[in-house]
Amino acid sequence: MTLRIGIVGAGNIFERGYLPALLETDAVRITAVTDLDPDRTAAAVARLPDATPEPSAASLAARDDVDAVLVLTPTDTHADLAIIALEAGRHVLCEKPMARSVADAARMADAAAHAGLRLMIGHTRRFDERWTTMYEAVRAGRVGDPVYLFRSEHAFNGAPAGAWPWLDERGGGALWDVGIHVADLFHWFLGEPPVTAFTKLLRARPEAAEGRGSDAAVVTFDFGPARHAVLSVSWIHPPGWGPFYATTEVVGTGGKLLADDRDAHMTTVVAGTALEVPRYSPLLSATATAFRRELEHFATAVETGEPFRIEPNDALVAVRMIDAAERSARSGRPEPIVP
Amino acid sequence: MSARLRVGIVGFDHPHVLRFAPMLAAHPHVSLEWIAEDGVNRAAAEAMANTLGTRFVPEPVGGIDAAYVATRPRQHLDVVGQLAPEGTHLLLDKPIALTIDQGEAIIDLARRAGIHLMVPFNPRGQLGPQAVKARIDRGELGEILLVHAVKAGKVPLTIPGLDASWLTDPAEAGFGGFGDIGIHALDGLRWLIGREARRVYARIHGGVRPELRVDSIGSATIEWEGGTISTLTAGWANPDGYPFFLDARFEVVGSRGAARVDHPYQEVQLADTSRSERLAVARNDAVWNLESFIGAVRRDEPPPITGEDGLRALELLLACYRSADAGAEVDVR
Repeated sequence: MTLRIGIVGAGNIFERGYLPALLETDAVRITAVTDLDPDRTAAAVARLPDATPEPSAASLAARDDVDAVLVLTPTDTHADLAIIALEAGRHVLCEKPMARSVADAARMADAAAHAGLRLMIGHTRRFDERWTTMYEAVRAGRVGDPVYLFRSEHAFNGAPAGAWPWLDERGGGALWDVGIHVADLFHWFLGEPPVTAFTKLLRARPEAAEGRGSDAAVVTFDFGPARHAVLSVSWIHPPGWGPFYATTEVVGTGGKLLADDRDAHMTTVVAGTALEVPRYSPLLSATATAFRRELEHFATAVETGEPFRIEPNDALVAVRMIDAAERSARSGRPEPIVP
Repeated sequence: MSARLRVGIVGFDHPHVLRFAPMLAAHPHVSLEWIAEDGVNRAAAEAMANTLGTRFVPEPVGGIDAAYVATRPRQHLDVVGQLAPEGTHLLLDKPIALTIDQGEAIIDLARRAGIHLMVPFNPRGQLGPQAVKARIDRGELGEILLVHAVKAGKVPLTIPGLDASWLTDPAEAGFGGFGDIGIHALDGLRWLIGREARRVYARIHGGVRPELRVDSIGSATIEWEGGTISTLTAGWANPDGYPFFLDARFEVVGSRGAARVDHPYQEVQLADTSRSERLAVARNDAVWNLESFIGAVRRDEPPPITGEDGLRALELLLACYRSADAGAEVDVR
């Protein structure tokens, strides 16, 4: 049976991440859309043949033809909107980060457990072949015992000053918005949470200085006496550098895995002094196929009851990791990841 | 100076000697007088001397204007104490010493003798980092905000031509893989950023090669004067089957521009269905370091990398290890 989904929030990640995937899959059907901006609601409905507009998240969740709610709103609103849907008896697929705080994320996990409903957080990397390939190789022991992980994700963030990703209390800056992906990747690859996090942040661009959200973050996660991982995310590369690029390294006792620009099917073109990287996906951070797989996995697991590839507790670990990283940036000390 | 510079090689333990010795022998402004070695690499040194048509001696015998010192760093102070008072200019391979006290004593000996002392570091001689440095100095990148450095090599236990196993002996090498290879990048960061490091947090461990008695990998987050943040991951992280001996990367993000340099060397790689082999490599860094030293001595000018630079790199490296031991961020000085 096709899962009927109502969408809350029709902004950037809807447009560039989910919409191309929704147009390619029969596993889910979008029956309703709501956004704070009625124009965006109307524009989204126009793109989705089975969808009708709704005035609010509550009215959307109350509809009989909505089995699950897809929450695609700013990070600080996730908890309240997901809980509205759960309390109305709907399963929830919510965009990452799960929440802006550990307390909010825990509230979401509790609400899902209490209602006996399914909650999945859209850590799309776990459905992207580039990372699933590395994950499988690492878990199969092909680098031996992994002792060092590195993951960088750099981009120029073109959002205007005052937009929620720049605001510390709303999106949390690059540490939360991008770093959460890397935190999840480390936890996913190593199968255990780290012990501590040590962090340095920058607020280099005027948008970050004004919004107080970080625009560069470097975090060292300690996974025990002989294992560590380094996260580096930023929004401070110049716009000519290209929209997104990432490097992943895994070093183990028996080998090394490396994925970077050389392997990402990017063609670099030097135009003047700028470097232009043609996009092979609307979001280079995850392919359109990854979004489609994520949606299909969600629909299948809701129907069959099989475990999600990422359960709420996994997403909660990523939030705890970034929370510890944020505390470290304030204290100047390595901070424990609270279990 | 029109006559050839008379140069001796003291010690045959540092792997760089395999490049510097033939380059010195072939240099038009140098006369390689002798190679002195009396340790485990005596036979290798003797073979190299024969190949190059120079004299092998167990101990330094004088009659030189300058020396390249390729002993273990633990011996540096003794060697400098012997050669500097004779007025011998010194290319002293890295690290300058194992402790700050030794390093300061070495610099003091050189100053009092009025000799030129240079510590060779590779990134300064590599074409990519040089191009980035030139752009930084011209202000094209604006204020330097964030720098990532990676320096990963193979365990130096199978270097053909000499026995470098002392690099895995804590008493002899002082450090493991992070220090052995990372000190190049620490100097590279200092040079690119153009400021001194203030604080560092590091994790260093032997995870890659737990059978060794020294560390094999580490990562450091360094905060510099002016607020620049940098990271460095360094060590013996490349398995023997890895197609490149070395991964060396600098990524510099400034307020007005960014630059990334990778693959420091132009290499000729031959790969078949099961393995790859490096047939040739253009080591601009070795050429640059040697030419810089010889040029400085011939023109009687300060070398581009001084003993003080070598000491600052050592100080930063020691701070990384102090932080790793303490599990906390530490001040560099």
